[in-house]
Amino acid sequence: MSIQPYLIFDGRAEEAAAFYEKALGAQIQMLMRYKDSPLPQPEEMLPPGWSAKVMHMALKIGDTIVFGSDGDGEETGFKGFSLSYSAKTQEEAERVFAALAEGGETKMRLTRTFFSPAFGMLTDRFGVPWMVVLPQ
Amino acid sequence: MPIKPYLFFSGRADEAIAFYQNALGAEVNFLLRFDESPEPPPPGALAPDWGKKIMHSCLRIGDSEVFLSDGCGTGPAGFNGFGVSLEAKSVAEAERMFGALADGGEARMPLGETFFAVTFGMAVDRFGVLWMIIVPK
Repeated sequence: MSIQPYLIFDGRAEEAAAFYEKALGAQIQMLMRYKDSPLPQPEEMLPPGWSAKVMHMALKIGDTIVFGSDGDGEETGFKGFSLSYSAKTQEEAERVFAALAEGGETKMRLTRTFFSPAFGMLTDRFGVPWMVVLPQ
Repeated sequence: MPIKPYLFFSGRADEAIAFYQNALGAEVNFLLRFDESPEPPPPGALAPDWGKKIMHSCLRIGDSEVFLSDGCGTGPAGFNGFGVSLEAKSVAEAERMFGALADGGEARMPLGETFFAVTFGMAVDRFGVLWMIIVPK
């Protein structure tokens, strides 16, 4: 039994994939658009012009897979969760934090805490909340 | 595994942990309450009487780890914009987990074969977390 996070990007999934490729070295393992799906989509289920949007994508970040999609156009916004990125070095923590925060919002700068030499929180340009942590 | 999901349960984290222990065989690897933290939070950072709430916990679910907490209690509760994809090893396991997760929640899409999966379904659990359960092809 294994778990992967699934992010619903409301129309910006492809832009997000390109951003995470650059910011995190993510590899796009697969990306399928609604119009390429073997399953025909009933037109009324999706907003107009949604056929080029991403039905499902898989991003490989390190040895983790993160799934994404544009959803059905009704999600609007991320709430109730964060993605926790565990860095191996101080340099990686700083680099990843800066890259993810660009165009987004820093909630807590990378700081020494009782549980980590470097921990910070941000929301990226798509509204995805992240924690970046260098484990003790 | 550099990336793990972190879920915020706005006061219901203890209840959620018990639920996932039962529904998914989750094991608690770590749990810290706010009043056990060596560093007190800044004044006003937490909701009143939040001391016994969970500041951080780590659950092992199958081969993966998920983080969970009550958050600060000062923002709106609820989940939106994401799901947790859960890969089962067999249709029987998928059915058992789906049934357990949908109990008290909502079966968004019943388990069934798709072009990409032996079986795939979606359920929102009683806390509002969206689970996508899959046995891939």
